[in-house]
Amino acid sequence: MNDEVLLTAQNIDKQFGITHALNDVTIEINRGDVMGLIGENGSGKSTFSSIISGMQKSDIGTIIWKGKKFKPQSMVEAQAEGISMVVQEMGTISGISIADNIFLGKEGDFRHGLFINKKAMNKKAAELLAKVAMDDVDPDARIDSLSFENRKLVEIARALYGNPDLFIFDETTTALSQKGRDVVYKIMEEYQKENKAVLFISHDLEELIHVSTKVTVLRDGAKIAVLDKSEMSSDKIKELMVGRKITEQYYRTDFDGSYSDEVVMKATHLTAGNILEDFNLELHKGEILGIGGLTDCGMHDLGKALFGLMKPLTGNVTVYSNNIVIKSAYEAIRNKVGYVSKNRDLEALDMNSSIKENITLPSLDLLKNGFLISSKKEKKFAKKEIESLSIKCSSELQLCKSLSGGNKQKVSIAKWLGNQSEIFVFDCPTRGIDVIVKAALYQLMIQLKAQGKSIIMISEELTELIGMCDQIMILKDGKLSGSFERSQDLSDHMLIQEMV
Amino acid sequence: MVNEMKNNEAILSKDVSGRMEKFNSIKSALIPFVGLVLMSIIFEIASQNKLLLPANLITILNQSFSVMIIALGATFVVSHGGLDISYGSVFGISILCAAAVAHAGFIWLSFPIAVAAAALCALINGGISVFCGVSPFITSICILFIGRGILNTVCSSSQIAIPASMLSIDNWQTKLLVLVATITVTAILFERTKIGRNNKAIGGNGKSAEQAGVNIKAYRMIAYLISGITIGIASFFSLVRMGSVSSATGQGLEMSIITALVLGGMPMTGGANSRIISAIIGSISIIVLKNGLIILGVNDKIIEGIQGIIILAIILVSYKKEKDALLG
Repeated sequence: MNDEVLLTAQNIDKQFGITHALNDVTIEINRGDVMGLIGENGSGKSTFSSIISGMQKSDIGTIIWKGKKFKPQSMVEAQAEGISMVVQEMGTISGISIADNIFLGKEGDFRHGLFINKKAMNKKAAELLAKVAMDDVDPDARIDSLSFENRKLVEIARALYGNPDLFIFDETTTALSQKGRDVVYKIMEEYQKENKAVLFISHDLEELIHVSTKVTVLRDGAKIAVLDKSEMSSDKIKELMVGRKITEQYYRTDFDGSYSDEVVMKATHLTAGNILEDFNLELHKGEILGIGGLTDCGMHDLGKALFGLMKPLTGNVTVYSNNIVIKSAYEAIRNKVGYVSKNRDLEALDMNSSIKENITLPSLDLLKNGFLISSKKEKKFAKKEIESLSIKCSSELQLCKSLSGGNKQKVSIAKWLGNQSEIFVFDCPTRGIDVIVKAALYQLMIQLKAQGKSIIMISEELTELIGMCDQIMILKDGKLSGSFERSQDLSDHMLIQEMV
Repeated sequence: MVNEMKNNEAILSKDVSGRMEKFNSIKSALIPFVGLVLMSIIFEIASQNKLLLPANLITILNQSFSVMIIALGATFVVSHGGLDISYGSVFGISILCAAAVAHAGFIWLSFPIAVAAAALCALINGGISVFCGVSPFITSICILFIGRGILNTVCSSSQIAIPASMLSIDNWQTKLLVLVATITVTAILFERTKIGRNNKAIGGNGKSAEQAGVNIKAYRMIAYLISGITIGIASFFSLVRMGSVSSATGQGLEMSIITALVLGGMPMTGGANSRIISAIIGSISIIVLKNGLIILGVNDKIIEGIQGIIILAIILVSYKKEKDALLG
């Protein structure tokens, strides 16, 4: 039973301009499979899933779906045939109800004559919401009343409509906390039981190994290997993704956790945003300070408040070198603080501008000849940062929107390296980034520490906090619930206990 | 060996796409320019070489002067994403103030008053949008009505005329000089200082601009100030050309400005593709179009209709959506 082929994508080939996104890729998915798909950013994962889900067409190649040739013209058509996908960056439409979001474009299914039967629609919506553990939510409520995570779950509910036989998760878990991830895992389990199939795209290796029955590795648009459960190991997959043995270290190897006594930034009795309350923090020169917790514990607001983007209700943030209270991002930057937002695409970068324009924006004052900005200096400045972070791009004029996730992140960090920041506030710096870029960012942080710079790393990934930080502060419901010194004996488990 | 070949390939493709990007980045500015050149050639041939006669070129300069000067300043506001349609009334108010001062005998005060009045109106317009969080488009509609109301009231019974001696300021040499100076100054401010760069960044993504330390409110206000100053310059030279101010002064000017910017390829949402050259090409384009139709002897009454059709056609050709989106 398990060997019945559900989908065969044969010799799929796709080119965008000079980029060969998919090169003769053949992937077979059987009923009962949870097929993991992994590769570096830009290796063709999303392109492949968008082709089988009808979002775009391949240049060459055929898709055999349930034994028949299949050429979906749109996502709606693919979903009608039983292939459904949760897209990486689509989101929900604000201003309308949850049910309207779930049945967007399929309202016709509930039509009676001229009118749409709202009651039937809401009832069906409630059924789908129950599958994503949102039983307590009113489908008629406006989508805006939901948290970011719950909106992502609504997207999953939307894709579940029509009981698809093949369900595609395109980096869905990146945006989810543990609770949301559990929902995804449960759906996968059920799919396996019902003898359907899942295509699962994720950068989280441990997660991928844990839930997949098979893993396909892509590299530069080509299929490199298909691994069975028994062959999967984190090191082996990494090696296949990169095409060589990874000799670079990943996390820090030292465990002494030492830093200077000099305090460079201090938050006292900080209350800001919806939940953060009376929080105190001291950052020292050469320290990597980790902030962890559940996603809505107030740690992201903390990052914004430290950088002057969010006005504290009480308390303040001081940069010690100049003894200045930070009241705006402008002041923070003048006092050599840099900030990388969790929300890279919406907040950290202007996607329609070039790499150069994004990198130089905070540093324009450094690039003047007299009164005027020198385009020569700008170019030199951008090129230097592109080189030192090895940002993969065709030139400094390439638009940010055409970069892969990891390279976008490098650009948003490059801004702050360029203007000689001393203090870095990184909010989820490795979110949605492949292992290679991740390793590079960790190495960069180690270098910065060695140069005596200070880093605040806010992260939802406990292993990276343990691997990188000199000190970890765990937040729960806006308050400090525990703090840990760097040590070899720290485990995820100890941190989780303080979080929930 | 294989690796080396791959490397060479990579370098080769890097070179090609680098050039592609340079081309793409100027393409949006190039199409309107080609359009203007083509349009000029067609009118030049159809009118049997009347379009480019020196006398007609001076007419074109006179007609496009105000539109271009104002569009140059408007570029700053549009680049941060502010759609402003109050130009006609602010222009009228500025002329009114300048005329009143000149009428009272203070001729030398006329120019500074024109600039100051327009700048003040623009700052009020911008201030309401920036500090009270009203959509710039809505604010500017209100300013448009208020300004027109003032003009209608003050100029209802009589026109205010200026001393005849001032009319001598209206000559093409002076205007050309002022035009070149304004273009130079605005181009430098826009491309080579933080004023232009920060406004473009705000239009591209306000959040990322804020996180890069841009003082959003301050730079938006500076943009309005520059826009006001250019309106003032344009209104003074309009006054010395017309000699008087009436309740209809400046009516409909706002649409010419916006059309000029659109024709010049300026994105109405602002951002990285905003350019000073768009204001220049766009304002020459709408005047050449109108002027060309007139010298071809097209009936006065249907010129506006034909203008609308041609402008629509130009926009359909030049504003294409991007087709290729790269996933990965």
